[in-house]
Amino acid sequence: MVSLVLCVSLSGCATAVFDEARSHYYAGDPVAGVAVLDQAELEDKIPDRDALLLYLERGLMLHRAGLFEESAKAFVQASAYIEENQKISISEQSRSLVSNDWSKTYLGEYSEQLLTHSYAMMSFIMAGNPESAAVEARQALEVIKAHSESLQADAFSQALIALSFELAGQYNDAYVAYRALHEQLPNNETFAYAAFRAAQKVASEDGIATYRPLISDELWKSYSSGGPEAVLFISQGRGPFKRSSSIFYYDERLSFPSYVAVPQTYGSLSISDGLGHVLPQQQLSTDTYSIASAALAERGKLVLAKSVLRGRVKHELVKNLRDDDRAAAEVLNLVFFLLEEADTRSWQSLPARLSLLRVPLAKGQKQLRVKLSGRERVLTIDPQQTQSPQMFSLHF
Amino acid sequence: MQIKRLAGLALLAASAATLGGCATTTSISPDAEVHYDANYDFSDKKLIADTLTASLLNTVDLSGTGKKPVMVVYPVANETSEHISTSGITDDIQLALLRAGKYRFVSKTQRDNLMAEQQHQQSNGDPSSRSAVGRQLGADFILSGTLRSIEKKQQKQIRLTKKKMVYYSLNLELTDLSSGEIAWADKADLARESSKPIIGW
Repeated sequence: MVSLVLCVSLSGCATAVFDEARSHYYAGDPVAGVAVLDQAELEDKIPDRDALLLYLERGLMLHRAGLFEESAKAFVQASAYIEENQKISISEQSRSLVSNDWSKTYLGEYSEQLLTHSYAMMSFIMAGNPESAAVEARQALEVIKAHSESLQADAFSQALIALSFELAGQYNDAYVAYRALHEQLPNNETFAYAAFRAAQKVASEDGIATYRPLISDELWKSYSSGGPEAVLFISQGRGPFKRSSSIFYYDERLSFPSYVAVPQTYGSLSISDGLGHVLPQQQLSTDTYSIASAALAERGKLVLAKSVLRGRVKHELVKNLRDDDRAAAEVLNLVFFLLEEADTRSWQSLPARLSLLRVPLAKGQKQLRVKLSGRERVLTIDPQQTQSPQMFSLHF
Repeated sequence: MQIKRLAGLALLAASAATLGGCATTTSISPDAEVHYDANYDFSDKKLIADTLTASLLNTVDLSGTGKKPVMVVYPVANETSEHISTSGITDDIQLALLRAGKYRFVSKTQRDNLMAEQQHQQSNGDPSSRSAVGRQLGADFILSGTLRSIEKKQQKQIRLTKKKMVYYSLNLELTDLSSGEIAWADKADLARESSKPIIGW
């Protein structure tokens, strides 16, 4: 009974730490958020089974703070943690059968596992290390392949994978990735252009013939001006969180998690040059609530089956105790009832939407204005840097 | 009474297991081939570097003019799905070739530092001890390459262990800076299979 109570109280400690860190983050101070997490780690306030959330929250906050190298390290730590803990632990399974899934090591939903690599890619790219971004791209492809049912819809991550290969000069892989992306989103002209460019690099006559006609004269002219290109990673809003829902059956309770979207208002995105001329752009976005819900649904049957099994185990334990001590059995039954809470741990600092835009700029252009949700960001462009895209990571 | 005895025995067994599993540290030889899993490790780095060094020393003769050829090492591209520092491999190859005395090297990684140091000396240094500007040795050849891997995981099925197969291949080449000709190329490859239990404590 004591260990059951301890289980719950320890989870509560970690939740309080993450809540405090996130409150700093949402208030616009990601550095303070990281400081809270670091202090908690030093003081051993975060149990090992919640370590993944520590790495993910820290990684994202470091990314928002512009500390891209440290951010990338945190995400590499996160994916190594997932890899090391991909096993069925008998002790954890036994514990969770008499308490709840909070006592198990949290390895993230499939969508979170993919976004771990996506954020690692972004951080490596922003840190000027496209080769390491390409390594993450390969790992991300494995996650998508393993869970394509729920993750195929994540166009943002797929665009990031293709971009990582392109920036690392691995044009064959970039071409394959852009082709796959274009098949999914045939109306996105910017990525048709990217596929065309990759086809040129790998000297694919078929590719060149396929994609050239899909590029409008306007876009072709923009890219042919000899000006720089800007690539924007834009994150908006607050991502979904999990809620515990319960089904009651006589004196038993079955709980399961579900995602809840934070209400958002998505304003229209406007990009203009330093003189206020609006530039054409096509953004490619992923709604994190959609992929998170799909990922949770993919393992939904397992979650429910586990919950039913747990209900049966608890029922039998109470029944056996009732034969010896009725009062103790009722107390145990009450404890089991209260402990039956779905595991609602999740990577809550994720944004609601992730977008990737590629914007060809005029020759000599020195400024880019990005307006979204009533806020404007002014980006400085280096007009001489035309060999590779100039990268920006923004949050609105 | 019997339950108490059983509980006591269980506690004893648990203590024995804990004490028996205490942490230990031992030194191992860097030349030993030790693998804990299928991923890239220091034994692989040594094998790859040794294989390619032997090939460079034994199969190619670039000393056409009688002078030792000068090489510059460019980064080996990492096209695997692991974060591998390929500079470790090229550093080992460079060291072995330098020791063999058949090649000379110029440093690409120190270029910025060399320029900064020379500029400092030109501005602040004693003229009698300044290093000469514009006298850096030109390379004859570029040593560059690519590290690739192919990974295969066992299909999802009912099983007790998870198997993974990884194949690594490092292609290295020497390119003549004047003509663009690939004067030498070779590869080192290795493959490994690992098995990890799916169920643990």
